Amino acid sequence: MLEVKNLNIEFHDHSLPETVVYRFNLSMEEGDIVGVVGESGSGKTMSALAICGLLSRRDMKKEGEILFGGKELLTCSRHEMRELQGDDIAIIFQEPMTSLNPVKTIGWQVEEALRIHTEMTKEERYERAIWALTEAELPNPEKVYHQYPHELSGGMRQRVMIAAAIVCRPRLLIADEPTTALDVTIQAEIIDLLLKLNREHKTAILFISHDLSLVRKLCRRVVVMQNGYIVEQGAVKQIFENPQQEYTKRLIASIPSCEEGKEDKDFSTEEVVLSAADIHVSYHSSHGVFGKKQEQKVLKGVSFALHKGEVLGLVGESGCGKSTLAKVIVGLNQKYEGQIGCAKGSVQMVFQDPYSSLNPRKTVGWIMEEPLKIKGGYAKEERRKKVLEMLQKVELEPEIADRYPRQLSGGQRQRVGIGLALMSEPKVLVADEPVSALDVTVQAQILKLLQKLKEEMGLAILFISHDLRVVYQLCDNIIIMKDGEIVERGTPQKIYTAHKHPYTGQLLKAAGIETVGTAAQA
Amino acid sequence: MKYVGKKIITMCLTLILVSFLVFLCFTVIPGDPALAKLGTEATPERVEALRKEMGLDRPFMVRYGDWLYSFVKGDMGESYSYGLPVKEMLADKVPITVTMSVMSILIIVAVSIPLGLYTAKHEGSVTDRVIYALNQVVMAVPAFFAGILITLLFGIVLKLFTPGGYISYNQSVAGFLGYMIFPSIAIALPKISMTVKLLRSGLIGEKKLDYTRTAYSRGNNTKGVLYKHVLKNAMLPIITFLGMTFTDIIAGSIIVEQVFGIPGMGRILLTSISNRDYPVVMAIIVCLAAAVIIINGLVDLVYQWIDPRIRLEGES
Repeated sequence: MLEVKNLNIEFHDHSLPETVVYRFNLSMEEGDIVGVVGESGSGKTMSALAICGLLSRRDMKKEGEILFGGKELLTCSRHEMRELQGDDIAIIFQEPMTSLNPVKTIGWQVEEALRIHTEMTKEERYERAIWALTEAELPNPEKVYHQYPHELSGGMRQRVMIAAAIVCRPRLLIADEPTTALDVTIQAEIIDLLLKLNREHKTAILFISHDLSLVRKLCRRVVVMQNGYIVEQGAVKQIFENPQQEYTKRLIASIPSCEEGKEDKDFSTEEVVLSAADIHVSYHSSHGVFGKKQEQKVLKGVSFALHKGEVLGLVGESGCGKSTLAKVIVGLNQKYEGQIGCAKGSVQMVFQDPYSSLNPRKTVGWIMEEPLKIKGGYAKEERRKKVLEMLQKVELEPEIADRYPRQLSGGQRQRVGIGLALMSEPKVLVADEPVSALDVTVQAQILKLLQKLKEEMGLAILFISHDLRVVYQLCDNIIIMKDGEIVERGTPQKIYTAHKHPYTGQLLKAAGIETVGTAAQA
Repeated sequence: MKYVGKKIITMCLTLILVSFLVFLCFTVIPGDPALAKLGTEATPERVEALRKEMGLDRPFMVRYGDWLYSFVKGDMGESYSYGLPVKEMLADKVPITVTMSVMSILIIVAVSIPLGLYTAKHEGSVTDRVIYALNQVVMAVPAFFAGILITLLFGIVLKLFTPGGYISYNQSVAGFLGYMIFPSIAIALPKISMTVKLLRSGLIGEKKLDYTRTAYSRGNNTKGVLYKHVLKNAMLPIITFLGMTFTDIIAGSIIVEQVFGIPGMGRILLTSISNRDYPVVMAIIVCLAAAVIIINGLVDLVYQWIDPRIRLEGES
């Protein structure tokens, strides 16, 4: 059905042409599910966009052949390409929040492909749209039909995207990181939905992802890409159990594993460096002068204690209040009830997105010296020396001090972020999703660094994450939050083998680690 | 409905506040209506007597309360200088200014939306660049100067209308509209270039957003994406801008009326201010403020009708 031969993609927007995809080859049968994995910049999304004809910038050159049902897509006219788009080839994107038009109803958007590609009457289109929404397992499709995107959650919006994609019953569905922006439990549901569509309608799926465990769950064949090249491709079982290439091996090794047994450590004799007692936070909102005031409770009585040298994992999905808690702890949110116990200036924070949290107009050295300047009492040379020492600690070259944040890679920036937080010698580090924005191999390196720093400096870390696998590897204790409350707490071993709250079970299942219990018992 | 009711109450409160502030201004700024009315015949005794007769010797709050009470009843008072009821004086001026404002806003919409779409669609083309350069020039031309140029070009060179030969709508509606089109163009020109510029950059910005990629992936062509998806989103800031422009036009029409010799509200406002003819000035300013507030209210309503996200907030 789909045959891609020697696809090359080149950009010509700089003085030197830059090739982003080299000799990409792929063939797919009717009803196939193929995964393309790779880290950012590997060319996986570029290849996918080229297949569905969405790469048509003037400054780029495409060579090779893309045959779809016998038709050559690279050389055919725009008009011919448009006839396939949305009809035989459909695509869903990573960002369900922004991929839908905010001022049009869901029904209008789902029906769009029908209006373009079929001669259906209004009633027929309505019926078909309701069918697609039902297929995408949206509750109450008749109601959703009349709603607007902002009234739906991220997961529901992605289901709407899927409904709009399947409304013309495409032969090929391209899914470009469709679950990356979603919570783990919703990720699992979307994967199940894709599997069902493939089974029931024989829709072939090209699944692009950086998440190897998802690819393993969904796909039959995998293509591994790095720097624009295909490194390895084959059946899922073969690639995961017997990878041939060095890069594939590295990629698989960096998936945080939960299978090694972990010893429980007792911290109760250590000094408590951070404690929270019965923290309550609510937001008030009102509309206009006469608007009614509304109260929304975000945190409902959260308590915990963090000991010296301990890594406490805080796990929950978006909206559970974990970021609000972090803000309360570091003092960015003063409107709370309850008590926070910690020495003044002993808590520092590491943010999720190291790029937007570093001033782009200052050098790394300047940024890292700032806490010392504010503290005062350091001469210029002394500050410089301390920055260089810190760079060494976070395993960066000293030259980095004279560079700007944009000149660094994501991993380097996060190292700078960590170094910056450590400059004022805190006792506690609050890390809010510090590795979520990073590629898997980089993620593994940053986790290793945090582990090392903790041991060297006797830090305590509050590690906030939605990823149970990462948390299992790094943390000594875990608390699980849902809707502003702590629903479960304990050591990783206890949580993963003998959890009590059903929500914990749901999270574990979604992360694909339900087997840990049996593995540990065996 | 509840939302509209709230909106109306807020509007009325704003109007009362505006009228109070204007009233206060005229009390604070120097100048005595009695003195202005008497002119050269003024002696301190006669001024005092006239002040008493006009009720100007009463305390500020009493005068304001009195004015507000009659205004709400529909009585705008009498002109100090002409002794005529203000209502009568304004009755035949308001339609002229309103016609001119509405005509210019129609011209703005009719010209700038197609131009904005065209330049956004052909971004970077020669025509786009020419329009961009023209825009930069036109934007810098104030309405009164555009008025002078138009009088020169269409009136004196092309002889399409007689400069200064205003035709009243009582004489001939067609003639009136034919004359009014030129001042309307003068007012519209600089606003058109601003609207085109704003719409173009809005459309180009929207074109880069994720949902347009989704629209292309369903088989839309560029025209479909632009008209069916992008335009409605890009119109949101334009509507706010047009609302502001409309109020700007009403206030700014005063000068253009002078240039074209049109006996609209502008002329009467100017003479009344120099004569300290407060009842007339108050009436005109409150009318202008009401127009501004009503237009802003309408913009809010249109905005909500287009953007469902705002609709939700208004209802909750």
